[in-house]
Amino acid sequence: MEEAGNESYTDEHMSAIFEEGFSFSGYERDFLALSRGGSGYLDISGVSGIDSIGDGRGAVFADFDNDGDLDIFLVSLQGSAYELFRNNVGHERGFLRVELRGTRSGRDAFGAVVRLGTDAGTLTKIKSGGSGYLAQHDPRLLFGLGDAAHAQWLEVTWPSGLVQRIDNLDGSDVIAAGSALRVTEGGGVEILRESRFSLVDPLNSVETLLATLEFAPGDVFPDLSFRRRDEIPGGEALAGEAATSLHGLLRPGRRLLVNLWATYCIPCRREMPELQAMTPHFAANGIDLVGLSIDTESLDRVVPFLHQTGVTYPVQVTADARVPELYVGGRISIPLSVLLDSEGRVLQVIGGWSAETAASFEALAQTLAGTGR
Amino acid sequence: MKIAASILVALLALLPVQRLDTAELDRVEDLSESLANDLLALSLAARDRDKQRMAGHFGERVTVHQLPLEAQPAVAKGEWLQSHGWQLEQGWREISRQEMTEALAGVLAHFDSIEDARFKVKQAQFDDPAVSAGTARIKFFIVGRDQHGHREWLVAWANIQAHRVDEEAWQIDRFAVESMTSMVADRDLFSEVALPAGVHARFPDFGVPPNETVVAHGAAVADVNNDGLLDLIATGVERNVLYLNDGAGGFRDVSDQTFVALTRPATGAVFFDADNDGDQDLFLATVGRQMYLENLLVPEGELLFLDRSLEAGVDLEAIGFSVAVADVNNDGRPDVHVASYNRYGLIMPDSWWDARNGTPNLLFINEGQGRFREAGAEWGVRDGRWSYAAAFADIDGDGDQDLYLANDFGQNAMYLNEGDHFRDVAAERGVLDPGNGMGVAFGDFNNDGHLDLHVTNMSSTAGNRILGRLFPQGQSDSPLLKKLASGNSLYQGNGAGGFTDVTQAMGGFSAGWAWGGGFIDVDNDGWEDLYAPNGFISGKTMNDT
Repeated sequence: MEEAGNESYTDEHMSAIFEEGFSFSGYERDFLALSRGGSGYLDISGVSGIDSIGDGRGAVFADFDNDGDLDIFLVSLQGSAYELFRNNVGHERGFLRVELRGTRSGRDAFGAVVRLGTDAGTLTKIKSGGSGYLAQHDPRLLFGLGDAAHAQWLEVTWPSGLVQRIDNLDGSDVIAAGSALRVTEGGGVEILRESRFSLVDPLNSVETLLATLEFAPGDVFPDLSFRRRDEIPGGEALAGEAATSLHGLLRPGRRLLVNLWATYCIPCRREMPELQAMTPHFAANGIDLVGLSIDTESLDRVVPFLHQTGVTYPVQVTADARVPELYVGGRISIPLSVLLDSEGRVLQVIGGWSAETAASFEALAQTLAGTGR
Repeated sequence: MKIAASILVALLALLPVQRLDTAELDRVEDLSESLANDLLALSLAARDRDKQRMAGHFGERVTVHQLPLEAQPAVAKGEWLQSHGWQLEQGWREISRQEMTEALAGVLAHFDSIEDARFKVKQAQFDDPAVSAGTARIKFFIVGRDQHGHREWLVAWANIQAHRVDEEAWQIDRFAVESMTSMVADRDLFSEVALPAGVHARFPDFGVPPNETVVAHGAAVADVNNDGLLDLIATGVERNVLYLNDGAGGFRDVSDQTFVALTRPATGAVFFDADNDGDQDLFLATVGRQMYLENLLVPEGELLFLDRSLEAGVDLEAIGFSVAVADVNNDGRPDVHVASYNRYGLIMPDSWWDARNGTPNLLFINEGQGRFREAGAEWGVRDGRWSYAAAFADIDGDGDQDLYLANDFGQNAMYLNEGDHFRDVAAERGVLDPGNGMGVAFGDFNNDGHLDLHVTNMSSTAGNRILGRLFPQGQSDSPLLKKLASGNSLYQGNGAGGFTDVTQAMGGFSAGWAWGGGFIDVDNDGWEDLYAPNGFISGKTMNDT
């Protein structure tokens, strides 16, 4: 069939994307739905932590840390293109891992189907040599057993046609939940001794800042640039010197407490008056305090926000777009306070707002005062 | 107008659809899109809790219904999952712009941090061409953390009335909340650890060389050095990267020392033991010549991937995407299928629902001795469809490997293995799944012992708006139209090659512009969950073209 006219709109839209920076089904949040016992699905995307906003393409499911649950590695179109999502919950339930070693079917035995009989029903999985989109998942098959299920029998349908059944899994002491088995085509079953560990912990906010902003080793905090006072409506009223970047505020023999905040940050609104009250004590202890706003869009709100919260200590607004980007991407959270020595090295990090962080600030205000230093 | 919408309108114009007035569709969809972009600006203002910017999107007086008052107590929905409703004010009243803004800000204040807030136009009517005003059904959501630091996802629906202030700006005059609920996870189900785990990569923005193709970007896992740990390859726009699992929670980039760095940027990758010698060799599909790399671990004892593409006979040109490996002729040697697409952008599909000017898929029959023979034509997979993805499985339970192929701009193929060729039975088995197929997965979603089929497709808000306007009751006599823009598909298998479309019965999967993913039991409860990464191109602005 003749398809006239389709080229034109494509050119038009592609140029809108390339030249004007428009999106085309962009900024979509990835999808995760939990099975409700096979009778329906519950969309939990927004609380899953894997609802990445990037333009996701191929994804692989694999138990990289052998802890008994499937982690996800995702490749996206642009930006932070590789994401590795560590599964934090699956391993709390029982599991059984089955590795296949083919003979007549070829060593990989791709296409083999494994059925596992449990007291909660039959679970079926295929060993796939490539599926999804540009993806190959964990070659070992991981069966989640729920809270109470026991594995009773195992049946492998090999690509060669051989159907191999292993009965009485539960009665033997072979299979405990958390086991890993290797089944050889036409042969026996062995238990694999796997090393179980855990993928690394996520970075905290400061580590993310340090790692992403790629600054020099030695834990020197990035020399974040500031906006000029005249870029901030009412900015001439702000306390503090007209420095151009964070390191310009470091002073010999003194420490610098940097409090990252934003006008849209609700906990900051609660925290900043407390910091204000402690300012004289910080000063007496050789600590200078600076509030560093990461606002980008609504600079006209900065000065009114400070009036409302009663803040009179020095405040700057960072001109470095990478920090707010990290916040919007959910990779750092604010409020976030960093205590730097006179060289800019990180001495202490206080993240979030809670009774605990308040106590940390009080310690900075009091302990040293008590020693008279 | 959005591309997806344009495609749909172009397509509708070619189908015998009643009551079709493309000029009217254009007019209404342009207004919808303008309103949608205005609501995106409101979304950003809401995310920033900027009352002044939020206020600009409302008229001086706003008629409201069911304004949200406060969060209701949470109800457990699972081990770590809760939900809570919102108490809504009864009845209608008129309030000032400032009161409206305060009401919205009050909902936002429930969140300690907001990662994303979004107002989306799901349906819109602009009945009177003389007046720049209309009504819309909108969905809005907030993703963030509550005051306990728990992830919370608020989803609400509302009916609004808005008038256009100027070319860009709209103001809402009526805001009637239909429903509002929140889901809360009292722990982080997943944590993103690419950076500390040593697998972080940053690609240039899309459109900046060399990142100019919209469709590459895959990955594969296998234990390539036989140490009992899963290693990882990621294909990329500039290089392919091989990461060795260090067994301590991280990975090490060994691309250089294993020669993987010498390979050309690939699309799909699959590890397989091509010669059954006990190590994992590697097949890389590319837009260009295909690649086969032999792992020298066995017997040489050294982890090296040696490029054997030429000797193996796989260095054939294709617009290669997904690789799928299985033994199609039951000789014990794994064969390789490469799904082949076309150069989208340079070459346009000759049809939006039955394109035939793609490039032929390749099927490499493994002949042993490190040789492959391309036999796509004799096996019958050498068609002109725009193929993205494929997966093998014994679909009809007769002891050989069948193949399901997801095609873009057309219908998918279900190839039954007849011993020495494939026969496409997608039509008679009801699994054509017309539209924009992107990904394929087999798994047993209902634990009946039979493999089911999941296919990712695109769902588009704009596309659904248009279909909704044409078919208010969701009724269309065209199965093609029903399928378009509706999202991912789930087919229940009966083990003998019969499939039933259970997508709607399972609630539908409108998962955006979806690519990979499929069945994954994330919580080990013994039931397959569904995951789909999505999004086509995010530009500098959220505004969609």
